[in-house]
Amino acid sequence: MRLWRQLELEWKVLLLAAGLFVAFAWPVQRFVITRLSETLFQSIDPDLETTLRAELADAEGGQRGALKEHIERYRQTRVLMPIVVKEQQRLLIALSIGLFMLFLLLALWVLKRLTRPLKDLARAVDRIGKGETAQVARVSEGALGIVEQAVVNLQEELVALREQARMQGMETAWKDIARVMAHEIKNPLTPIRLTLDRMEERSGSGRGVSNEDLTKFLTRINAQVDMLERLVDQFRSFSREPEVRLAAVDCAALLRTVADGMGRSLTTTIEGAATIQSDPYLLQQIFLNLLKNSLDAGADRVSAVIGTGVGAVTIALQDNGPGIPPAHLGRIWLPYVTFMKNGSGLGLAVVKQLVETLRGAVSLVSPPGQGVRITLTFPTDLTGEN
Amino acid sequence: MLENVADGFLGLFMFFAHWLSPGNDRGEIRIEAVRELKTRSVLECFISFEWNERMSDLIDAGIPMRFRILSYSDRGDSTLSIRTLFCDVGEYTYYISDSLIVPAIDSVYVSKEYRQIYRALREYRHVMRSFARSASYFQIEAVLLPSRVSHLNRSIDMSDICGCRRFATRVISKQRGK
Repeated sequence: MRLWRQLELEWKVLLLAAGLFVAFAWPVQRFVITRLSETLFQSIDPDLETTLRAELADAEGGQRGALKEHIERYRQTRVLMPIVVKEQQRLLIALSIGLFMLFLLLALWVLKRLTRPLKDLARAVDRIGKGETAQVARVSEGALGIVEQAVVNLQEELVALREQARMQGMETAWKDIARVMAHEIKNPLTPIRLTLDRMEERSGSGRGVSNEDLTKFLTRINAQVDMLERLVDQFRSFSREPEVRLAAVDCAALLRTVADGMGRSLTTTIEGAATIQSDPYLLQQIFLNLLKNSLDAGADRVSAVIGTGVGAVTIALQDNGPGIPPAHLGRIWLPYVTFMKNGSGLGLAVVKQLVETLRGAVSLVSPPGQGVRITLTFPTDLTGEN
Repeated sequence: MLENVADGFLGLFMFFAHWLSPGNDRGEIRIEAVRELKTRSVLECFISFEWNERMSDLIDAGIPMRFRILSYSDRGDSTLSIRTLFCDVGEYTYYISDSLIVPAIDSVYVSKEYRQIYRALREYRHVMRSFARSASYFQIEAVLLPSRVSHLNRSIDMSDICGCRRFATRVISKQRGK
């Protein structure tokens, strides 16, 4: 049954025709031949030879020869009848099979011609479904022509809709980028503007700015400029493929260094150790982004577990933050998508890009009430991996 | 998939073609005795084919049965003859004739008359040939020829009924020595 379903329409029709031929044509010809044989045999007088032989016993000379010929003719006719019928039957069967084969070829050709536009349409629809452009021309008349025209219209509409969606998507993306960038740039600019206003106010009022205050103001402005620089770096690192410089990296030590930089606001515990051949700078950026993300999300504790497997190292980071709602999990890796008040939407996107650059893998789970668990996997030797 | 279906059709066609084709299997000529003379060996053979009622009917209807018998060796002992079994329908008498074509053209031998077909058949199947003792091999081939049906102006192929058209045997000197 499965085989039958897989067969194309024209072959199904041909097989059915073959089945019908065997089922009906064969018994019919047998019936006809049998009837013909019976009729032919009934037409021969069974007593003819007896009569001829009786005459032969009394005949002489030329008459005797003629009677012998009659007997011979009678016998030959009688004995050859079944052979001739059999021959004709074979001829009929051969002719039937020949004609049937001819019919099969003709039917196959006609069916192929008939179904070709349908198959072309099916292929075209399949390509359209995959988002490719298909050449559909209206070449048929009647119902098939209407279907072809409908497919042509469908393709045109789809192309228009896709273009519209693409434009809308790009516009939305640009708007999002502009909004996030404006917000991120504005954040450090505000304190800079305020600091400069205060300095201007001090000098305008004649009070002057003491060296101590000047240092304080400059430090504050410097910090905000640093933040702007970091922001620019983040954008840059996201927009281009980072350069990989391989070195032996002690994962636990590197993670400890990054965690220490977070200060007392985030307590990080590390279990296990592993040394891999990778890029220490990129790994540092990955750890920094992840720990900062946990901190920004409201976590104050992160536990890291480093495990080793065959040719790979796994680093699992578990924080005690509020976690991510299941509805947001599908979009967390997208750039400029953030669910935090002051997030840039680039942290996890940058992490994903860097991990992939290091031929690693990253996954995130967030069971309700259990914070976020991020698992990083890196090859132990990136040189061998490459 | 479609190739399999095509193969199926081809197979069906081949089956029918085989079924419709006349029998051309190779039959056997049995060696019954070898007599060694001074310079020649005489071989008595038997053309082994199946006999049935239908063949009897054909012969009884005055349709002759004809074999072309060819024998040769590496010493040039070539013989070609046509052996015929026929029936005089009026007299119920059977005859066997041998028309020697090679080496003596139109040399015809007609047997004695037989009243029973089976007795005629026994002689008809027996073939006797002689060849030089120095020959390293000797080959006999018999081919059943189409028979003329005089009153219906056509011929029939008895090999369809007999099941075999060609009969052959080969004697090599080692085998003869045994």
